[in-house]
Amino acid sequence: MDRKQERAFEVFVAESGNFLLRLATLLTSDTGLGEDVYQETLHRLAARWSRVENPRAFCRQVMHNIVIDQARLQGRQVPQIRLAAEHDNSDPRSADPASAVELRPVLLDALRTLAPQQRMIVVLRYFDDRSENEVAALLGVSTGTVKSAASRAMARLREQPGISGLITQTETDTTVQRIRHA
Amino acid sequence: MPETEEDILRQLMVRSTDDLFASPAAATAAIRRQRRRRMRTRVVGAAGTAAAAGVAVGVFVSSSPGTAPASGGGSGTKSPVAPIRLAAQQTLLSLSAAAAATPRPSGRYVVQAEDTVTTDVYPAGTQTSGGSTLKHQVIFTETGKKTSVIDTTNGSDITYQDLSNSGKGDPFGDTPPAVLNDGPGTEPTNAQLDAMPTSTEALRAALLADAIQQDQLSFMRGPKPTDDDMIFEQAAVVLWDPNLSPDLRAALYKVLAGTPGVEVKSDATDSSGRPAVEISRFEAWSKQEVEAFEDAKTGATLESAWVGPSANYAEDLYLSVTYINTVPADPYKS
Repeated sequence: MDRKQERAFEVFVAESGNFLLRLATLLTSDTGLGEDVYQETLHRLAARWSRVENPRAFCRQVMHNIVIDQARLQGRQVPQIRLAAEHDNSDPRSADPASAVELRPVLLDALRTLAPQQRMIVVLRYFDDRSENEVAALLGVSTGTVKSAASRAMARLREQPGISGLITQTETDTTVQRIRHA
Repeated sequence: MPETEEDILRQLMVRSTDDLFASPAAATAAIRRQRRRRMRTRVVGAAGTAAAAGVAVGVFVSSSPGTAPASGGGSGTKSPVAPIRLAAQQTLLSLSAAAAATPRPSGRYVVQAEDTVTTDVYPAGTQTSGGSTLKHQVIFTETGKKTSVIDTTNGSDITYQDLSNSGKGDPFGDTPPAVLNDGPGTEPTNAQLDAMPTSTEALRAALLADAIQQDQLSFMRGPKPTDDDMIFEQAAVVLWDPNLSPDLRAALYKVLAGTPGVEVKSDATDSSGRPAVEISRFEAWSKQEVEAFEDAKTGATLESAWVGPSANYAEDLYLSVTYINTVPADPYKS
């Protein structure tokens, strides 16, 4: 990577870094692991920068590979539980940091109950706003698999007591917002 | 209703992560890791005779492929014998004094700089010419941020860059941007640089802390850099900034003077042939040498290079650094 490419890389990271970090956090359902995956993704992107046509798509693919590889390595091991307090990345620039700090552990716990592939599909579909076809292409599965996996994932999340409470809270917030905007 | 649930899940994902912000150091760390992979072809094997004569061969640094090398300096002129450490320290302390005596312009000013970058990778012994040289014009404001860059590739094709936080510029287009925008924030501001300590021990600690943050050692497989490796390279990286305060630049040279393994050659030349003090240090973990070429009179940095034993090379060279009192009316055409 020469200096010109370095600057292009810096511009990309400045514009996409926050999104990619958040995507990695959701894909791993862990803030610490998410940060590690984000960093490793940048390293792999930097190594191939001059040959990458669509950096975001490349990052998605790399994150998917890392997460799936990690899941395979861990096998059926019980996932390690991290203490939220030891790695809190909350930032005062957040519009509602208290809300994020409260929501995150509950949501990540719920996402952690999903199989890695299901979690990948849910996050790519609903956080990254990728279409079913795009997700299918990225994961190398059929569109039908994406649909069914997303459906099963939603059903699983619906069973999580913490998520049920959040959904109620969010519906309330949404209702309040609608009333305010009316 | 599934749509509602999906929307709610979307909101939850956004809200639960909207206080996570990526550190600008992440990009720097990735770039630094890449830079370490850029290494200079050394004079080896059949070129040994020329090497003994102190002439760089094997790689040409040129404005167009296939032309004669622009460089007789850099590692090609490096003495095979390490200087006496005491002399190295004395040279660096002299450099420190020169830097301390060279004032930084105050008030509104712009620094124009050009650097030549050669990063093409050539397997050792298989490539004897070629390479790509990029000339950059870098505009600094009084805040110390690099605000815009004009790149001239191989002296002909011009690509305009507009480093913009908003992303609304025309990065890497073929027309000049309308306004100068701030860079994405990965370059330190003058205020950040001025906030760095200038006592030797405190500066060593600060450089080490920065390097540890940027290097993300947990991702490195195999040998890892020592504290001295990281301090030396981080100091060389900071020295590259032309906008350092005299005190900080002077302190950096004192840090280098106290770093074990540092070598100094006071009668070297940079890649463009300018007289320079060459400061170098071999990193065992990466098997490469980090080099910096400094102007003995002003303490300013002329060139940085990363040199490997048998593979590739990289160097950044300031062709000029010009301080002016006003921002050019149209800096993109100057």
